[in-house]
Amino acid sequence: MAVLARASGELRQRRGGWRATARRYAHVPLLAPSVLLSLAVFWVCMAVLLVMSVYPFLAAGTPRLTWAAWQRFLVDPFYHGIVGTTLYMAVVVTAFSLALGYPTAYAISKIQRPGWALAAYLILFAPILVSVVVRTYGWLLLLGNTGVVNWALRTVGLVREPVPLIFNFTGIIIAMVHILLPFMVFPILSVVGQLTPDLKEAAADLGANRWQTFRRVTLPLTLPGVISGAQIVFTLTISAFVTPFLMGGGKVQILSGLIYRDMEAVNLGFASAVALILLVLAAVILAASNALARRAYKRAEVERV
Amino acid sequence: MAEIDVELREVSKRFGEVLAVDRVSLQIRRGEFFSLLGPSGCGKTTTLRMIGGLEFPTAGEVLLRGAVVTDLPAYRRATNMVFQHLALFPHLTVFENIAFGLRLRREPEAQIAHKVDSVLQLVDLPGYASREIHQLSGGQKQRVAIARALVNEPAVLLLDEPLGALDLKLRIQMQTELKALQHRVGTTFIYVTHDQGEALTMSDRIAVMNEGRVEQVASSQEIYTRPRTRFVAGFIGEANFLDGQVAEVTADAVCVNVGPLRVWATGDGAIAQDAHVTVSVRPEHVKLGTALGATPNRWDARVLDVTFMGSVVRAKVALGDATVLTTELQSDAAAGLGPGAIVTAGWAPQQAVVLVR
Repeated sequence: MAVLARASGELRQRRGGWRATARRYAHVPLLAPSVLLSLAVFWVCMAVLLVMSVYPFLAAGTPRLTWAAWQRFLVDPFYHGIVGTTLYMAVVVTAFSLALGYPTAYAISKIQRPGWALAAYLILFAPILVSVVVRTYGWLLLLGNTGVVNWALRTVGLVREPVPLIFNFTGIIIAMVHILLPFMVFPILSVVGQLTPDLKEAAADLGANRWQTFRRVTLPLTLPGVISGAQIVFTLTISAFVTPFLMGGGKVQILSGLIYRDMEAVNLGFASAVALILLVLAAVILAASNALARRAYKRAEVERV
Repeated sequence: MAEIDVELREVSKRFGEVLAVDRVSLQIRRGEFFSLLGPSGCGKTTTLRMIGGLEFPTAGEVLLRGAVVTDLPAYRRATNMVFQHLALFPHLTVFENIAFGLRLRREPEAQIAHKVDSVLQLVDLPGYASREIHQLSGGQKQRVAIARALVNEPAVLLLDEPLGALDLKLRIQMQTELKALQHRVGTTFIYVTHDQGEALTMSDRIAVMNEGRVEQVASSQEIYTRPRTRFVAGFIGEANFLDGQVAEVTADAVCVNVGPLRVWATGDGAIAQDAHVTVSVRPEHVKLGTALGATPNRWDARVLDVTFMGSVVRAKVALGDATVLTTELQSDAAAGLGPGAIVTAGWAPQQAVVLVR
């Protein structure tokens, strides 16, 4: 006992020194660059946007408080429609990514041979290395009226006239799902990989067939991956600009396009307001799904004996 | 003769090139605590998994209460398994883990609650229903895993080294509890373990397996005192092995020439004159000095070394030039024993077993 007491006393003394203090805050300099960058670029810009949305003529030297931009956006049903389209696009892209991504992740986790697994990773994730612009132009070529897809459909005889697959909502969805699929697969893959086969065996042993095993064991345990994948895809979609802009051909109005148009037109006050609204939308949806994810994570805390 | 709950007929299982289980035939009686014992890789777990329907035999038949179930998947068998790593569902509470099988059978809610409650009483975890799995200790998880299997009232409960992860003290406590539990519920338990002590204390009968084959099936006591093969004698406890040739067979004993020594032992089954055999003697049966009663097996021996082990002392003694035996004595009987001492050593013929090679 005495020895123990002496040891802990020494420890306390040593901890009190300035060296200890220095050690305790040693990580702060490491954090500083990214914090400063984030402060300067993101938060300062956000503040500027907020100011500009209510003082639209600040740059011109005539500061006059006006809520016109906010009023216009919140009252005019035209803009509500754009918000609706944006959210709808994000929901559809997320749904398709999930429908494609979950089985993909599941299948990849089942690959036994390391070589094949590597091949699957490469095929799936290599497109991330290519610019979004390039990939979108690729889709324009594939899906255009004279593109490969329409050529194939006509050759097989499924359609007579080319199916409009670009410069519309469909085109945006196809290209976005392709571009964002890896962001859905990866988080799911990381949780599916942690599932041990004995949990499924236990379910089977207790009388569950394959579907019941999936619904009662596999799905709930992979839910955290599904939620984070969906969050990533959803937020990337509502703020995406290049792909919807190119694939929509200016015919599909979404929030990011609206911001771009008004910035171009030096309508800075309105563009700022829309930018902030987009931010709030993303934040609200993230917070809601985070609450959901927390519950899922709490349950999935795997602690083995 | 009791009814047979599980029967294996010439069951084999091949994984690629490896023959994991090689023509195993077993009959396991209703209500018995049956252990599959053997070193890792001997095929004991594969055998258990074939009984549970988690693995399917390459050849042979599996019968459950007289019905052939060889190719029936796990979810359609009246067996339940306690897994080596327990495999409790981390996303479900203790209650939902235990109710898992009952819910799949769509039992009424009130009945489920009642059954879960009773089984929690049975495994001594009353009031734990609403706990999360990660809040439990190792021993508590163990009990939940057993409860989750038992609540389904299986014809046979399969246990795959379920105590392997526990520390020694808890292990020994759980061994006693498992045995008591089996007595209370009366279900047939098939228990896989590589720990011979565990198998001996818990089992009614033991099948000792080695390299995919069953070497011997017998009661704990018989396995220990009358091993059939050298592997069984060496795996269950310790043994001195003396290789020799049969010199003489009488009505109740066998004389074996081990080098210059004429060793008397007893055999099970037919032993032929001149056969090459191994005599197996447990260290505690090798007596020194006055402890040795009237026996034809008595020789002068030189003590090589003495190791104090608490309540017992182990000594190595040499009989002649070639034969070294390990003996285990009570500490008080070993007073004054030291390296170089010459003592009389030997054993009673009925405590030495002749193993046919």
